[in-house]
Amino acid sequence: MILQKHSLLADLIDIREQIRRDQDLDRDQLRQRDRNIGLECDRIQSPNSNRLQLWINAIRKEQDQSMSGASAGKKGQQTVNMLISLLWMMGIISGWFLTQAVLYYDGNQPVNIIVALLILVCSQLVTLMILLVLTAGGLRGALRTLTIFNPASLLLNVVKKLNPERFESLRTTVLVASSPANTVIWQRLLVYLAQHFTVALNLGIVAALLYLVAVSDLAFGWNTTLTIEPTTVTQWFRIVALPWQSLVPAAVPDVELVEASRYYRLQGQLRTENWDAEQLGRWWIYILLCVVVYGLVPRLIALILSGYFYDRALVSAIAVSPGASLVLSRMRSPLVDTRGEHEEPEADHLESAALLSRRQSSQTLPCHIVEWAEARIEVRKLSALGIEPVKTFSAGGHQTLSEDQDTVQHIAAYHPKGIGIVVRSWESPMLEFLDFVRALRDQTGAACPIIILLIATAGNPVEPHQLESWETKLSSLSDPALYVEPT
Amino acid sequence: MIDTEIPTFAIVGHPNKGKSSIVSTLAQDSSVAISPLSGTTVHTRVFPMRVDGKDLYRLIDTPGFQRARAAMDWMQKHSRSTSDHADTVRKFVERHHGQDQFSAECELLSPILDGAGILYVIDGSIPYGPEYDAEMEILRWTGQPSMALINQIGRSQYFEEWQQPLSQYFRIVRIFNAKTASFERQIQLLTGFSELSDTWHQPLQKAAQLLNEQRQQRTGQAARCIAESILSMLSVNEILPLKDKNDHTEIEHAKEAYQRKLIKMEQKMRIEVESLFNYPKLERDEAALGIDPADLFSERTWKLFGLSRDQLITTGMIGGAAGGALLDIGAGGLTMFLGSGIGAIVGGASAWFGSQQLIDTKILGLPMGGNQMVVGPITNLNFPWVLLGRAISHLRLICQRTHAQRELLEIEHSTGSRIVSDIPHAQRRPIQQIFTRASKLQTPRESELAQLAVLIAGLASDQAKKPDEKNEQ
Repeated sequence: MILQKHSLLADLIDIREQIRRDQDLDRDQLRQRDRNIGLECDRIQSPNSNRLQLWINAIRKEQDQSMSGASAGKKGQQTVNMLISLLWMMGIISGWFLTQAVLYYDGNQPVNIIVALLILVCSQLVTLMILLVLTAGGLRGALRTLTIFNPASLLLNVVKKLNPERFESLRTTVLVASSPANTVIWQRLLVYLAQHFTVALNLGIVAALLYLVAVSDLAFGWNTTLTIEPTTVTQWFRIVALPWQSLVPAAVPDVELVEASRYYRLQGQLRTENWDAEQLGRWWIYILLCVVVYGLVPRLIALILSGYFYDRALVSAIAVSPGASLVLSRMRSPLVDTRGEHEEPEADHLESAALLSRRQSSQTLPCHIVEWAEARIEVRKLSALGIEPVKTFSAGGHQTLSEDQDTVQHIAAYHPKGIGIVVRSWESPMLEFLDFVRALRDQTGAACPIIILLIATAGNPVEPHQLESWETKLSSLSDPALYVEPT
Repeated sequence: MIDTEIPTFAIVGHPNKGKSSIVSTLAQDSSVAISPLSGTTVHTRVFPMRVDGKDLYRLIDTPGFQRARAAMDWMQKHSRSTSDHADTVRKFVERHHGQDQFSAECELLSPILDGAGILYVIDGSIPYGPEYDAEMEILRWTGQPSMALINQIGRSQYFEEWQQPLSQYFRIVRIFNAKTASFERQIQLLTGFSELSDTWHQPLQKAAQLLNEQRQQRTGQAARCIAESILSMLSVNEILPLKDKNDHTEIEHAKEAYQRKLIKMEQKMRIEVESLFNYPKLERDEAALGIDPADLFSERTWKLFGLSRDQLITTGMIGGAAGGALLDIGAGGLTMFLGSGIGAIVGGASAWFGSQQLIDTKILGLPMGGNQMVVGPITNLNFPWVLLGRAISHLRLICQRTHAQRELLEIEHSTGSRIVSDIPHAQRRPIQQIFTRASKLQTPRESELAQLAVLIAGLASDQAKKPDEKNEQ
């Protein structure tokens, strides 16, 4: 089985959704389905999260054939993709306009290099440092609080309002359920989305800077109230330029440039030492490299790292999804079934049975007695039932069938007024007994009462279910002169 | 034709002596028809232990003998010497196959002639009778390995009386109570079948191992289900709209609805646990979950646009902050979020002070807000332990029950209380913390669920272990 390429978020959402749906499915079907998938997975050694991904892929494959439309996971991932696209647009636009504002130059006053660097580069470094400190320091509570300032968080709220259905798949899995795994995913998702925004912001800054350089003349300068020598300021600028010093020497400001860029505002007029428009424009490449090295590159690294940690959080969450342990257990455990192969067949002959009629015993009935399978009865019990034993015979048990036939013949020869057959109530009436009763009836005529006398075990009465069992079975003979009586 | 490599056992005997009960228990299958009336089983039914599609062993439930003496009579007439007994039985089945007269005998003898071992079942609570001899003689004629199982159904015991006739026909005699046998005893009996043939030893040992694993897994899953359900029940609440704050009828209705919800959740948990152990339609007799209204935490809460007061304040603050942020942008970001801060405070405060007026406002006839009744979760500290005790009582009974039992499952909850009160203090404390977190509507952690499930499984297993029946051998 090959792990199909789906996003981890889509897998997580679909796994949780499927586990929820499985609660309504038949347990046997689930066991069968998951074990089949598990057997496929057994061929490759994989951690729990991979197994669950393989599991959801197999189910998706099945469902693709019967269902149409995107899964909840796919919708969730589409939402995130849409957010990323929006954040990129917002980032590029913000970066563009921010640069246009910061580098605004109408020819009167040069663009202040220090302010430009503070806004375009330092602010980013500060927020990146805050993120690193909070993340590395384990200050997740503070991080959670700060998420309200995250552009991705704000954008999610906008999506929620505009497209609640699309938002739902994300909400049900990673936003609302406040498990620790979900909290981590939520935080890392926001950090990851924010990095998309900031990378786009930096690209917007770079694009706007290049555009301004290409289509307009920019002049940069710096000023300060403090008594600072240009050589000191040059040193600061050179320290900042250390990363590209050897690669792009032209982008490292020298003392002459720094001195030439200083200006003063006196009596409403701009005063400079050596004003040279061409020379002042040289600063643009320094600002560009500052943005690239201290803005774009760190944010790209942050994007890659936050993506990696976001993925790891998703992988961990997949493994600890509620109900995932049951799925894994079903996948790993052999499918053991001990139940019957087919449905229980109906015992139809019992349903049609009608109860036997009761014997009217107003006077004593002389009866020939048959002891079936050596079942014996005391005379006093027969008397109590209004039966007067005439002669006793044996049948069933150790007797052979021909001996049984002889017994039937003998009894018939007496033209009995009644026949009592003594049986053990606890033994079920079998067909061979019914054969014997039928033979007696055939030989003695339809009018001769045949009374089945049930005896109980020592000291016990005949139990109702025993009586019912005998009556039910014998009623299948449809013999109006056949009676069952407990003794 | 039966594959003799797979241990196969035909459960045979006199009608209504508990063959189906034994099969039902060993196969853990409640669908087997068991009735005090004889002749319930009219056809053979195979119960394979199937592991990933492969059979490890097979039990075959058969109808009881109906005309054993007549069958024996036929065989005796057609047999020339002792050496052709098995062939004579085969001829008997071939001759009478499809005929009504010996349909039961043909059904039960066919799997034996195909190689199945014989498990001859008698009821040890009733006396021996001579009608059994023909059956046992026919089985001996088949020449297949056999074992007698004394099923101990009723009160009276006639084991001694049975020993002598049984020992004449069977080398191995075992006693087994299909209705009360513990799981360990069932496994013991199953592995004991390997005495019939050496080649069956290994698959039966494997079967026993897998059944033990399955049992542990089921108990674990049931414990997990109970843990999840209890924690859900602790955090559940019922929210109903409240038109009039002083209307006590509505409050009572809310409480009743809440109680019904809890009872439903508990019943769902019961069904889930039962289905894990293959009891799909078990009927129960138990006292319903009682809730003292005094234990119910209830409050009247205020809502606007579906948002609580706190949520509304937050929304107001964010709205205010957004307004402030515009100020920040206008100032080129130099106000350093001061505008946002001011906006947030103003927004939050306006939401707080304006809420009471807004609640009575209607737009197009629809109220913008209103009061609602929130009932639950239950605050009584003892409540989760009551739930736990009841659930363990139930699980314990399910673990002890066999599939041959068809009576109502009578749950005595005082047992559950005793089990719970016996939990040591050191074990109790962390569980109480989990319960407290759940009642504060905090989502349980995976580790907490696992910890609770382990405790439940342990308690249920301890309680489910019963000493084997004294009179079993």
